[in-house]
Amino acid sequence: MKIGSNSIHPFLNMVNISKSFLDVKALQEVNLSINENEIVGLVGENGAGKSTLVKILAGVYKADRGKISIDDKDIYINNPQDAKKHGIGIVFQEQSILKNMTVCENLFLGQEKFFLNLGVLSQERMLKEASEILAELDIDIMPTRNANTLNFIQREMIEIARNVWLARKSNARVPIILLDEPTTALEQNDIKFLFQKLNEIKKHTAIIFISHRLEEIVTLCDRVYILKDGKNVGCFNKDDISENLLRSKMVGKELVGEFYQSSMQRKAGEKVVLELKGCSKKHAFYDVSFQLKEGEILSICGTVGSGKEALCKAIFGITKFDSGDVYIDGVNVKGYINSPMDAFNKGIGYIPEDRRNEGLILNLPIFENITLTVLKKLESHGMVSRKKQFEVTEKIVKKIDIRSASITALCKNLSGGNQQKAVLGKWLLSGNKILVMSHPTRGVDVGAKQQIYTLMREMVNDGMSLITMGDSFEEDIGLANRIIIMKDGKIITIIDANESKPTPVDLIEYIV
Amino acid sequence: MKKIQFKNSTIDLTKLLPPVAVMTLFTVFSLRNPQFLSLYNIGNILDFANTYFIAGIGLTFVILLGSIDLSIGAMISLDTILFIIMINAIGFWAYPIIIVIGIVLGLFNGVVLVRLKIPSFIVTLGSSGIFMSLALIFSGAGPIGLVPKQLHTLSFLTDRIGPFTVNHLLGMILFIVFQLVQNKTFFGKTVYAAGNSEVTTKLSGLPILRTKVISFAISGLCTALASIIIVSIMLSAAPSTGPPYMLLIIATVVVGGTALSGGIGGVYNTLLGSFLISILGNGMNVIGIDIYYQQIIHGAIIIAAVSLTLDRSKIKIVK
Repeated sequence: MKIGSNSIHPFLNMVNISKSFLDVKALQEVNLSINENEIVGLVGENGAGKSTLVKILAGVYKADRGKISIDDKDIYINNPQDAKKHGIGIVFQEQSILKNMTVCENLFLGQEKFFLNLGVLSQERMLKEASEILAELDIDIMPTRNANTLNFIQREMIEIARNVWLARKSNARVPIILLDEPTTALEQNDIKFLFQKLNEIKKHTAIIFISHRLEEIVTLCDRVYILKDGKNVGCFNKDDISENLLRSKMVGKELVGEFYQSSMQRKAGEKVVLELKGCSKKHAFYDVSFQLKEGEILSICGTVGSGKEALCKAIFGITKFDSGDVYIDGVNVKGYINSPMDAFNKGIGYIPEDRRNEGLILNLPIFENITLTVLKKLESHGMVSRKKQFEVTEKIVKKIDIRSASITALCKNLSGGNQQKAVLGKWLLSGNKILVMSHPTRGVDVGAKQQIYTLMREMVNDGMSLITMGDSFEEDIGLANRIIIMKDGKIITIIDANESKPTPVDLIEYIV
Repeated sequence: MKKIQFKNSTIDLTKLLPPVAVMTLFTVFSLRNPQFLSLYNIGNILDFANTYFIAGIGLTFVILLGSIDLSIGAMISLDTILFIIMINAIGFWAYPIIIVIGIVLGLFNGVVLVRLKIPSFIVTLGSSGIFMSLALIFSGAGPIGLVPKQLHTLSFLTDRIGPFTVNHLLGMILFIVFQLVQNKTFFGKTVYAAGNSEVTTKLSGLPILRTKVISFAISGLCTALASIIIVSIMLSAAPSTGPPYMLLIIATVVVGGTALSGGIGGVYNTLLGSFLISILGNGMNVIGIDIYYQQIIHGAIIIAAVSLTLDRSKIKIVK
């Protein structure tokens, strides 16, 4: 059976869609169909082409090749206006609700022409229609409320309502709602609420749902498409879906071994490479003392505001400690680290959370990015040789498997996982032995995550020492030799995870 | 950035535009007035292009970082005046001293910028006032001429070697040197990195502050070298010498394709820009456009050039 054809006459059909960005093939002959009253899930690693596919449907991008049809009639989508005419609306990760306006004004933003009476906007009719559409979708928000009083989930509901209403106005038979990772910023309760709403709303619509979280896809979607490297690799009905199935299809192979490579964990050395004694920073953390040993992975756990982020920044010299002593290899460096450059010269590295703006220079090629930390070393007679830059980059790219057509490709054309690998590569090359990692796997897909974990294991085997703030307790527990628990700026305890691993529940007990 | 799609390749419009504009202007002006192509006039064009280019090299590094140096005009006034005074007094020793003074003026801008952490356009607007006052004080607010017995200390600069003068050779040497500095040195690579993303560069352990100071110092150095050339041609200096150059030198850098938002462009672009601005200025004279109208053209092409090259993803809100 051809992947993607579920029923004989689906409502919307995308056939053989292809799209390239310069040299990168984002989509290759991808098929997707959706029926009325259906929620279709779209999963895949970062860079698999999910976002590109829905953006083509929404008219943000134009497909290079391929056909889109609704009710067996071909349609042509060249821009977002075309998409809207056919009842297709997209709710982006970044929300487009203006906070200085009311719910009602937001609902009809850009569509005021429907409410003009001799050139004057009829508030009355706007309010009436707003109430109607909100009531129909069973959204309990007053149209006169100011958008700045709404929470994230409510704003998301308004956006969905806006798309449904607009589709109606365009005389589209079935509104098609595209949701691009709507749950990233939501709490568990809100997600539940959203799903309940989506299950109601699908009675009037067709929904395409993109998410990283596989358990969401499994509970919500009627059908799931899996993309990998810009191609269809599977389409499953609700009854056949399981998280493991999705995960293995996404990665393209069964995930062998444990996710965090715990079997590769080694005992930390005896040598103390970094020690903090009584370090404080006002309004951030107080009296922090710990040791980092050679070849150790040390996780710092804590909620936002526990002071862990500020602590990591201070270690790398981005901010300064107010008081306390810092020893590197047994030498007190207090007063010597006043900037990232100082910390760098003392052998510390830092992987920031925001790799696009802080980890990489997107407009420069891969080799320039990776060699940033070693420019001085590559210099001879005052000149940096490009040949040497290429040589060292080739080695790193090969070692950590950065996938790109060429090392002269710009970093902005890499997928999220490969970008993060480039950041890691930069520091691997630097030769600095202490690495502070702020969420090293944030926004990275399953496959790349595992590669990064493996890489971290290899780094400590080569004698590096890592301080990491993970994206989840599981990650912290899975990776670390020891786990520091921080709360309200203080270290509560340091858990030894060398012999037996604690459970997430153990950590939560300390934190809350 | 606008792109034209050809059959198999994408060509960047902003890269193509400056050389095409240089050739177009050249052709148009020589068709309108044959005198445009006379040896004398070509020499004239080269003289102006050379001055703009040399002063523009330093500004190129400053702009590549995403900063700006508005004090170049005032620096030219001060440099030319001090240079003439020193030549009249001590002859050849004036050369090394004015170069050191140029670097010191640039360092002043750079150090104030990184110490007080205020935007470069305010720093250099302020220092431009300081430099201008100094120029007025040292010159007694009037023009100063070269004393005839020191003519030989300058005249070798305008000696001809084929169609070129020694000044032009200096420009060519500086082109090669700074092309290497820009593409091959630690400093040059750091300028590009910082111009594209200052945070990333900083977090990669690179010396941002030092790079900024050095860039402004280079701007001071290049302004001093340009001042020597101006004096060698005019044989005099006055407080009013510098300011008219300011707009032209900024124009030189930006019409060449170096983006005010930083990280894009370079010395080669400034070379193209210097020809563009000099041919345009000279051509407007040759075909008889009133001098009063010429600044309209210069102002307009700066605006046009910036609007073409600016990386708007970096400047989200324009104020």
